[in-house]
Amino acid sequence: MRREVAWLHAELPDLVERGILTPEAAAALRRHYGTPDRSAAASWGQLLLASFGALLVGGGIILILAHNWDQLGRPARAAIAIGVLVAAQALTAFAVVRRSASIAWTEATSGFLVASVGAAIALVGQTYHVGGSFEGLMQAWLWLVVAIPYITGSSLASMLMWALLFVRIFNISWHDAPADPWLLAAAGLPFVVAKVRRDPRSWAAALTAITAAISIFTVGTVFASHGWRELWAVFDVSFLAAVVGAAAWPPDRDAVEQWRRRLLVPAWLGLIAVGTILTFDDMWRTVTIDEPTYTRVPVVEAAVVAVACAAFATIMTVRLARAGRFPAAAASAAAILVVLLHVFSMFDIQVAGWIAFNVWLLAFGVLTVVDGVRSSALGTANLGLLTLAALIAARFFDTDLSFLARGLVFVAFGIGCLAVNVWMMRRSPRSEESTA
Amino acid sequence: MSTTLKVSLLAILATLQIGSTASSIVKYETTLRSGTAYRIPSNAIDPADPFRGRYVTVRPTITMRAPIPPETVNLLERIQSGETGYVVLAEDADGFARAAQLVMQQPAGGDYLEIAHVWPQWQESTVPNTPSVLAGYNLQFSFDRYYMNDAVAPQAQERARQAPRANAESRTWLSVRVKNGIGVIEGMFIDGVPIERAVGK
Repeated sequence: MRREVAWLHAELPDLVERGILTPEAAAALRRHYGTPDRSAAASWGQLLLASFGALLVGGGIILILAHNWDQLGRPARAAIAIGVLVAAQALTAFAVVRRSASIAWTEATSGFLVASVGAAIALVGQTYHVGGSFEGLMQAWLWLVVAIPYITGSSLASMLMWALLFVRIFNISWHDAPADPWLLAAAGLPFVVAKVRRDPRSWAAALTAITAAISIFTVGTVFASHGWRELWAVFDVSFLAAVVGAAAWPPDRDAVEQWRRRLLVPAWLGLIAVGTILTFDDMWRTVTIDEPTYTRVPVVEAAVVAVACAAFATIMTVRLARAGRFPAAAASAAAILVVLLHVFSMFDIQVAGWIAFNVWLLAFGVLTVVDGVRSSALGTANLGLLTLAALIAARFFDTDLSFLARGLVFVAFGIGCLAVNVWMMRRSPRSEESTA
Repeated sequence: MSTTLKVSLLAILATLQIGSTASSIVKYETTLRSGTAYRIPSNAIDPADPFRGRYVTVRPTITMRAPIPPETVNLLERIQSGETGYVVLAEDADGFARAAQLVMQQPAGGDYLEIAHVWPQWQESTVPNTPSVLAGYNLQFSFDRYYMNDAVAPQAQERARQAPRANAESRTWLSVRVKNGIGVIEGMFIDGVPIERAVGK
């Protein structure tokens, strides 16, 4: 947006000179859009450098201490653990009190504080040969840093928290799986919501939302995959459909906030990937209800989150369909579809699952291509083509058609994709300009 | 959020972060300074932790040899099935730790440790075509890591593995300080020589 405002400001004098706009209209446009923020690029660079600097310093300290220096006695190590932590806290306090206007200061010190907490826990564990798992260390680390983003407003600290949760979830032992990853997600999520509402156009807000979505998606997938068979599919589809629904808000017009657009594409791609997996009949044959693991707390939590996501996605489906936004409506409709088909499969109607998801993927792909062509949006059309390509590739593996027939379908579809792209590029305004 | 509120919350968070670190330091340091030293036999393998560095995985084990009274076997089986149990420690004639008593209630104080794992140890029967006989039970504890300089940890593992092959009487053990249920590893030894010295550091 900043780039567009800068472009508009550069164009206005010429438009006034050529009589296209009156000076009053140009002044009104200037007032409406405001002055372009020329320091934005500089502050972005500053922010990136400061954040990477903080992370490298923090990570470097952890690695240096992990060397386990023989020369350092226990008191020296204890002093280093506390010293690094106090230094990071002092710098963060300084940033909050004296440099609150500087994003670079806030982000760098908050990132450093997150890393320092980990360094302190690790050093104490190393010094006293404290047993326990890697997951236990991550658990303590996460709970001691989850509040940092709320106090400092740092997106980097929030992203690091989500990244730590992502790493932790792969190290959880299923036998004594704790329920607190969901509590951590619940504790970290309000910051993300506040951030995207406060700063909807920034990349920082979009990245925070994407990091949180990936982390929650992973937590749910890992826990659900330890529940009853194929619960992971219910969670994945419901969650991704809900994210598509949230990213498509408001239902009656295209999203204006940048974070929604930036979140939509990865959610859409994830939905295509999971939807394609569910077009295989094997995915539905194993669904049963006779396993005892579904009473475990993390599994129940995953199921509850999945149902909540499915409910939201279904409401969005209805509203998007009423507004005529059919590709987004089809995407969010996958949630109610997967819930119903999963229930059917539990009662031995498994054939409905893979047939319905083949139809859904086909319909979703066609609707997206048509929407992309109608609105001259090359990216949308290609997303639809990608969906159809995924469906065709999936059927390549489990149909009894001859290799000749499959090969001809592939070639025909490939030519179709190229033709649509060439045709759309020729129709695009830029192409018309260059021809003129 | 006002700056005053932010600073107050940051102060609370900082106190929690420092408190968590410092309380661990105090707890382990107190045990190391005033706890009773026990020698617990152990073996060793060498993995690495991405944040805490390279360590030797240790499996300190106290073996309760048969015959064991039936009521103690009952307690061992309950612990084996997942219940929490504790072992009160004493020293045997060789100076190694032995299980003086098993209890299911946490003792009020003294030299005891929570048992992490229990499993039976079987011995082949001396009579042909008869099943193996119960030789005893092994008790293991939660402390399972001995952190070392990353340059010498692999050598330490190799040294600990080779020692019994070179000499059947060779023993690897941990010196563990125990106080009020907390056990902190003080050092690792192969035949009385600290592992750091045994690998040439």
